[in-house]
Amino acid sequence: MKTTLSTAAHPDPVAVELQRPDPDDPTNLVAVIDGEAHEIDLAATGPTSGLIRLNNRISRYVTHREGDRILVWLDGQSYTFNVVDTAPKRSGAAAAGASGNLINAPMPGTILKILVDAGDSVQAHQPLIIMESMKMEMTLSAPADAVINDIHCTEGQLVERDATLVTLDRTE
Amino acid sequence: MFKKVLIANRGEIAVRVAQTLREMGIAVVAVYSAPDAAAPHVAIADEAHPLPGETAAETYLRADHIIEIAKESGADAIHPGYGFLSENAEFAAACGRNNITFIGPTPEVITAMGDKITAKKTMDDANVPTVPGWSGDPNAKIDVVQAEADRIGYPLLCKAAAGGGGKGMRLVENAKDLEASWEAAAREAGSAFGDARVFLEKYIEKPRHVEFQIFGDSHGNVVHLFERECSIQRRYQKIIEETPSPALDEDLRNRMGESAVAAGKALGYTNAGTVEFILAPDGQYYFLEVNTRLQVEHPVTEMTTHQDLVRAQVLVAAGEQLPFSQDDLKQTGHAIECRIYAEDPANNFVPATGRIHMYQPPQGTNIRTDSGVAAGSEITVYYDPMVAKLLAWAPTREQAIARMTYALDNFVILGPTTNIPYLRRILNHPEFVAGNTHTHFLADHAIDAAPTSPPPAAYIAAAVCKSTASTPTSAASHTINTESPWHTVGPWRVA
Repeated sequence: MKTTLSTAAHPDPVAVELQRPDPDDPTNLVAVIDGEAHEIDLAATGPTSGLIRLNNRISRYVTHREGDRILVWLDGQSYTFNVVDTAPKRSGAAAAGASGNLINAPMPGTILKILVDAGDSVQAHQPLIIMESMKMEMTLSAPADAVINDIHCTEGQLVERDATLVTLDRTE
Repeated sequence: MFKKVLIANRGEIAVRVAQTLREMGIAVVAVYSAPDAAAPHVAIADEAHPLPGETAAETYLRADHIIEIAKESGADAIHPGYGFLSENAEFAAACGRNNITFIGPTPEVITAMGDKITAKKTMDDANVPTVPGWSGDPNAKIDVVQAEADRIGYPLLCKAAAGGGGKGMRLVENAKDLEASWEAAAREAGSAFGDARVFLEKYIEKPRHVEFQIFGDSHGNVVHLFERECSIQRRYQKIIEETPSPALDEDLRNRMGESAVAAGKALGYTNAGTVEFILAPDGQYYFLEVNTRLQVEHPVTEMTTHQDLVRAQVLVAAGEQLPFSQDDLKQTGHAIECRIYAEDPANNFVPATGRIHMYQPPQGTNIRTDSGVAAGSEITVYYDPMVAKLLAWAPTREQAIARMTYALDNFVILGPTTNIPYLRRILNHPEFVAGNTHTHFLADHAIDAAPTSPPPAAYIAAAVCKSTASTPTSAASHTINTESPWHTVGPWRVA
């Protein structure tokens, strides 16, 4: 069975295939990663955990699957893999929002102060919003000279991580 | 002795306190917010009562609800843990008015030490060294503040009088930043503590944070249980603590211990407390503050002194003598604590939320995990993102670092991102290994927080997981009965 996986640290999809070349020996396993074959041994220590022996190096793993996300703990490090849909990629849509014209909440928290109004001209690094998260204050500033397009929050509001707080139009 | 004690807290500290209470044969009453209904601190209790709501303010900070539950359940005493109501003098006093013993110092001492300005004056009078500064004046014009700042000299700190944990604190490098920092500190103090008073203090460069555990009883005994070094901090939050401090020799330890006991005696201190000092590179030490509660990092003291501090708290609160004298107390070996946070070091330490799917603390001799979560727990935005404290003890510091490294490498948490790899990198940084720690360690030494690229074995594990989960087949179908674990083939499907 072939699986195509990507991670944040390694976004290019990697194809992984587990093979049993000898039908009479279920313990004879080969993993093909990105076209390269590795002879491996596997031992289950639980329903979602086990040992992998690869080039005589033994790794302990624990996994959890959640839809298209597979969480892997291996030798003290955790990795999140996305099972890549091999269907053709949608074009265009994902690019919007990455232009830096949105001020998003970097973490969940409460809006303490809104320092600008829609229509205001602001300079790069000018503070726009003061928010509080985990009892620490944080100032969100303009990424560049810009005009405030709209304010999407109110003082005292509880916001989620990545909620859009301010939209702006760059003037530089 | 108490028959029943209510624990007014959640998370790992509520679990840890409950363990000792149950050992002592005391029934445990838990309280819990809506998101905590299935939390481990509820599961370990003898009875549990809901606190309506979700936020801390609606739940664990509701002194009135908690006292009501204590009365209804017939609890003799309340253990406040740390944080929440633990340093709230009005809560301690309200317990007393309702004939419930508050397991902690008296409301008077909490009030005196909760006000950093009063605390400093008390220590000056007791000949405990304090940092040069100005006690502040909320009505002072900015030019008065400026003049006092010039007298102390830069760099300096603006600190909240009611503060703690770095909240309401600002470092000021030069005069032009003073006004903005003074106002920001006051605003943050006002919102965090409901008290906007701020004072100024000389800033000691490259200081170590060295604190002494003290303990007093109602019979006039005050002892110290040696130091804890908590210099590894990020944004004023401790993340790695250890004892003994690599910076203290026997002479300095004795002198600082005597100062800590003098501070406790000046206050008529009862129960557990911590006298925090900053230690300058020249060996001068200065009083910082007294924390009138059990500290997060108390287990390193327990591991090196072989005492149960919660048990001592309960005994003293019940009016008994301290279960140890100064001469009974000896430091043996070395203990390190790492605070495990659900946060993403690679993404500016943003708190990570969500469900913990797998949770397997490391096992081994002299490894201790104080956990506030279990598999299935949900990490929410409502409370502190610390999920557990991991502790390791060994005869020497070098061995303790090695044991902690092993423990971190074997701590399985799947779900929210944690700081475990980051802690491991700090612990094995050459300057940490050499004992050259100070409170700006993490700012001065760039610790790599980037996630590592998965090795081939991680891809294989993911592929195995996918084939297993998508085609549940009987494990037995591929099992060959031999002694070798390598022949115990799991339920995955290939080809």
